Amino acid sequence: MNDDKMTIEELLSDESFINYCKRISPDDIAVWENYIKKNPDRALLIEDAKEQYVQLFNALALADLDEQTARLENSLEQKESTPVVQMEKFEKEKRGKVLPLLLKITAAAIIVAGLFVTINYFVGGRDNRKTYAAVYGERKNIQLPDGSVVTLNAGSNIKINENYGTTTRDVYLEGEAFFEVKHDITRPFIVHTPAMDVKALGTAFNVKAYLNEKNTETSLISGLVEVTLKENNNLKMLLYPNQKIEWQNGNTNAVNSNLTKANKDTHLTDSLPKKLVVTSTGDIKEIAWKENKLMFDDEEFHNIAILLERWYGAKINFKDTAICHYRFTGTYEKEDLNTVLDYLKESKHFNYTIEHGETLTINLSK
Amino acid sequence: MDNDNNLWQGLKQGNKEMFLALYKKYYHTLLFIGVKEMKDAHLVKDIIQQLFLYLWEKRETIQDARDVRSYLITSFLRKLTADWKKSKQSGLLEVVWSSYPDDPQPNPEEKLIRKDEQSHLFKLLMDRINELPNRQKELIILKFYEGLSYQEIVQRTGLSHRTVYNKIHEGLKKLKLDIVKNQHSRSAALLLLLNVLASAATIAMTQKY
Repeated sequence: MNDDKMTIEELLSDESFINYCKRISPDDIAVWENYIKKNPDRALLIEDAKEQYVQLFNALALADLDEQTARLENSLEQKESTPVVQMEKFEKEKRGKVLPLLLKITAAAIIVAGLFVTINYFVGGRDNRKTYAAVYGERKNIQLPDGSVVTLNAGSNIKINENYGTTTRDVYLEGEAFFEVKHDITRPFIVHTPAMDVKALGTAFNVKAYLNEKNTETSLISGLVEVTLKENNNLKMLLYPNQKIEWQNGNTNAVNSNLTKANKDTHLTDSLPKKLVVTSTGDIKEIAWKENKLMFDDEEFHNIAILLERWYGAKINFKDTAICHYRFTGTYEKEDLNTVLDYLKESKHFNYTIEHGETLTINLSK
Repeated sequence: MDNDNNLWQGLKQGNKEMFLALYKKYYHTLLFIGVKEMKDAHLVKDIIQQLFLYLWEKRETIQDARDVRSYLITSFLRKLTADWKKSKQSGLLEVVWSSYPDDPQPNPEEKLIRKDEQSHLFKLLMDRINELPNRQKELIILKFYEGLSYQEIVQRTGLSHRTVYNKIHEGLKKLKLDIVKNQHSRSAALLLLLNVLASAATIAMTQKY
C-alpha cells in the first residue's frame, strides 16, 4: 500500500483493510492505524473508505434480513393455512364431528358433499381400512397414529389398516402425498402404490401416483428409502436424498422379452434415480405443491390443465386441440384460477370462458 | 436482557410479532456464527429458519430460557452440527462449542449493523447492487456481507484469485460511480429547475413593466 493513487475501491478490495474495518484482527488494526499516522493526508480517504464499507455491509444485511423475515412469515402462514387433521380412533366414525371441521376447511359445499360420499363409501364396512382424502381444490395435513405426518395433495387419498403400526406401518396411496415419517426402526413405514412400494425408516419423501397419470414417482428429501418396482420383477433400489425415481406405469414387461433391446435400455435408464433440481428461488419442483406453490416447467397445456383441475377443483375443456400443445412455465402462490389463466394468455394467445355450474367449468378456445 | 425475556414470553404466548422481533434481533448473530463454522450461508439460513419454525411450533411446551441469547446460539449450533454431520462432511468441522454460550459478546458483524438508520440510502445502494451482473453481485455478497476471504471464495467458486479480485474491484467501481452519477444528475436537475424559476421570474418582471 505505498502507491500514490490509492482509491477507495482498492482499499475495499483489500482483505487486511476489511479486517481493520471489522476490527477482527489486531495485526491489521495496527497496520492501518500506523498507516494513518504516517500518512495524515490519507486519513480522510481511509475514513471515507471505512464508511463506504459499513454502508455496503449494512445495505446487504438489511436486504437479506428483509428477505429472510418474509420467508419465515410465509412459512408460518402456510403452516396455518394447511390444517392438521388428527386421525381419530379406528372403531367409530363420528360424522357429526367430521362435517363441521370440513366446513371450516373449505367453504365450498359441493366439495364437502363429494367427500361425504367418499367417506360413506369407505366406511361402508367392506374392509377395515380407514381412508383420508383431499378432494380437488384442497390440500390437507394428516397425522397418523404413530405421529408421522402426511400432506395430501388435491385429488388424493390414503388408506391405512386397522392394525397399522403393530408390526409394520402400511399406507396405501392414490394420488400424491408428502410423508414425514416418525423414526422407528422396528416398524418399517411402507407406502404402497400400484407400480411401486416405498419403504422408509425415518425420512421425508414425496410419492406421486395418480391413477390418471402415466408416471409414478418418488422424490426423497432426507433420509433413505428403498423403492420396489413391482412391475419390474420387484426390483429394489435405494434412493438417496435429493434423488427421484420415475416409473412409467403399465410397463409390466419392461424386463421381459416383449420389448426390443433398445427400448429396454432406455426404459432401464429411465428408472435410474435422477437428481432433484433446486430452482433459483430455492424450490424443488416435486414438492412445491406442499409449500402451496403451483409450479410447472415447460409443460404442455393439457398436462397443466390436469394440475389446474386438481388445484382449483375446476373442470377444463379444450375446444381447440392446437392449444393443448402450448408449452408454459410458471410458479403461482396465491393467485386464483382467473389470474393464472390471464398470465398464461399473455404469453401465448387463447381465450377462455367460465361457466359457473355445479363445478366451475373453463372452456378454452383460440 | 429484560427485553429478551419479554420477547421470549411473547413467543410462548403465541404473539407472532414478538416472535418475529426475536428472529430479527438474532438473525445476524446466528448467521455470522454459522457462516464462520461452515462458510455456506445458504445452508446456515435454512437452519436458522428451521430453528425458529421449531420454536414456534413448540412454543407452548418450551421452557423459560434463562439467557435467551445463549439458548438460541446453543440450539442453533446443535442443529448446525447435526445437519452438518448428516451431509457427511463432518470431517471439515470442529465446532468449538464452549466459546459461544459463555460468551455474550456480540460478534464483529453485529457491531457494524445500524438498525434502519438512513434506510433510504441503503435502499438506493441496494438498487445499485441489484443492477450489477449476477456474478459480480454474488462475489460482492460473499466478500462484504458473508465475509469470506479471497482464498475461500476461490475454493467456493472455482474462479482464479485474479478473476475474483478483478470482478470485485470492478463491481465496487460501478457501485460508487453509479451513486456519484446519480447525485450529479440530481444536482443537474436542481440547477435546471433554478434556471427555469429564475427565467420565469424575469419574464414575470418584464411583463409587469
